Amino acid sequence: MKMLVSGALGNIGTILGNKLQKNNIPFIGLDVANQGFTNDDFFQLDITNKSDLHEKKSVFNEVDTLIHLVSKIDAGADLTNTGIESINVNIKGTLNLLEHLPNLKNILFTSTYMVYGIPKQNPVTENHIQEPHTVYGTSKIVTEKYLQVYAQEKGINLTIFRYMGIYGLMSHYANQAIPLFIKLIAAGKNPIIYGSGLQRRNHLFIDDAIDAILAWINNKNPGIFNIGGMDSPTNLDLISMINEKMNKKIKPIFKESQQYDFITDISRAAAVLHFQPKTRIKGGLSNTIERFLE
Amino acid sequence: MTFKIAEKNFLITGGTGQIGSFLTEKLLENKANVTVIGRNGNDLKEIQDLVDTKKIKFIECDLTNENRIKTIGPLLQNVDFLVHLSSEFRFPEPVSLSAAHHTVELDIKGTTLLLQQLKQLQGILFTSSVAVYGKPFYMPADELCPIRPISFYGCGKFATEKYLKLHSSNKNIPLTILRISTVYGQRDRSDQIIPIFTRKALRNEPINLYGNSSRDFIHISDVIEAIMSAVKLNQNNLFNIGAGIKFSSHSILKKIIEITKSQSEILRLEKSGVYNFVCDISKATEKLGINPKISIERGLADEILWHKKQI
Repeated sequence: MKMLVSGALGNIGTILGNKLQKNNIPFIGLDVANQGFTNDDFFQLDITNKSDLHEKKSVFNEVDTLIHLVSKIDAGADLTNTGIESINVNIKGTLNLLEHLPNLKNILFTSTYMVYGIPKQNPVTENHIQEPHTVYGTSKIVTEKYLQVYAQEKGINLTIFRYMGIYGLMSHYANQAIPLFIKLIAAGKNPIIYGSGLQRRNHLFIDDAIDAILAWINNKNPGIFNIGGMDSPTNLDLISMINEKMNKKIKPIFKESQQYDFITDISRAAAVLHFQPKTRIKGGLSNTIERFLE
Repeated sequence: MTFKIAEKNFLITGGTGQIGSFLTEKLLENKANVTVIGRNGNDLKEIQDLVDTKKIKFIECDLTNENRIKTIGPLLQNVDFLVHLSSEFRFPEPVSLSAAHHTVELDIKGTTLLLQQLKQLQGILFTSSVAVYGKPFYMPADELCPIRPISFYGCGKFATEKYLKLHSSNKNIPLTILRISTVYGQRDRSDQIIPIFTRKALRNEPINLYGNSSRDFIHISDVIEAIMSAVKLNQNNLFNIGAGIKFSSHSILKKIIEITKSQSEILRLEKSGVYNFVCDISKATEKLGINPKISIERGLADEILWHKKQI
């Protein structure tokens, strides 16, 4: 039987793929992109297109484990804008994939902290009320529910990771604090802080995000888990650490904005998945800056 | 401040159904302008007369048809209030992926596409279902009971709640969500137990009783009252709507047999997965000022009379 990584050439997928190869863990991958990649174990296809999936029937029949990373990310709040595309890829795409994987036993689905909306209290546990205020968070909480019903009905082992915002990626999501700060400070420009700069997040370093997947591959323990970083720096902390690493002294500009802390409780993942993040924010930032400067 | 219904333009999706047709009549009594969207213009049932006499507007549109929704957009420009009732309840296989796809098309995409056309909304009311609770963690289930649907129907309702909520907070439109338990009463054409038992009892046919689930039955007139009260309030709110009492299938069947004086024989059949549900309605009682008035005996007698006329 085979393990399939969907979104194998995406932000997380690429790094995961390298890590799996290094650890001699066999897998097959699919992605809508190709990037000149030719390999018998890679399939370029669009999960919103059923006939694309149908063509790979014989291979997909052998898949018993799915790591489902494909996502359309839209952190905006206007449903009338890109809502349909998000629904098509994130929700319908997931159902399409399930339809073409008849022998699944294990699913790992990567969801997001954005399913919670604005925290009612910190740290945010997995039972926190779910009131997403983004198109992305809404599509993820809905997909979680569809997956739960399907997994329950089919007796499939289902694990859901609610990732905190991930930094240290090869390419950056738009509007994420850390890559934006690094880019601006490197260019000698003032980074913009929305709010007082004192809001805290337990940003997750990419290597830790990958390690969580490796922990899951080992034990496949089911459940819903927050996966977040070990430190919860303020935005001011981030800027001073980035300045320090880059030998700069660039001051931020403040803009008035709603602000709130967002710190996820990651103790369940430690207890059940035996996963704990290892990267301190300082090390993670240095590493990210080094990758950026390369 | 209450929302003034008179002269306002209401759009009702699923307006030909049980709740939709009664609500249409009630809104007309309150001098609202009503437009109904329905899947099939050839089967308008109780609202046929209202359409023929031009008291309401009817637009034929299947909410799974993206192009059609875009085409009718210009007809929806001045809608003030959306009452979103549209729903698919009958699935041959409720946990199959084809049912899942259908709920995504109808509930999620249909709702989103419709919202794209409604640019002047001042209020939204959505009839969700207690199916979002699945087998509830505790009972009576209040609005804080964890969401854990066990069917794709429940997923579709949950998803619609979330997408409407996103739109409501982004555009600042008050949204009322009513999680309604099992509705019964006149015009009930569902395949739920009361219509099934009643039709068989009236024909004196043997009646199969599978397991002995119990449900919270709410009479249609109490549902309409709750909707009207919620529309007038027009605030961001979430309410369970039920009677707060549960009746087992067996006790319902006994009452139907008694009322119809039926000779039907009851065949008790075992069934795995018995469903039990009753909701806590104290929030709706407090904030909407409603309290279910119709007793199950009176409601059943009334519904049975209606079924008799249909046969």
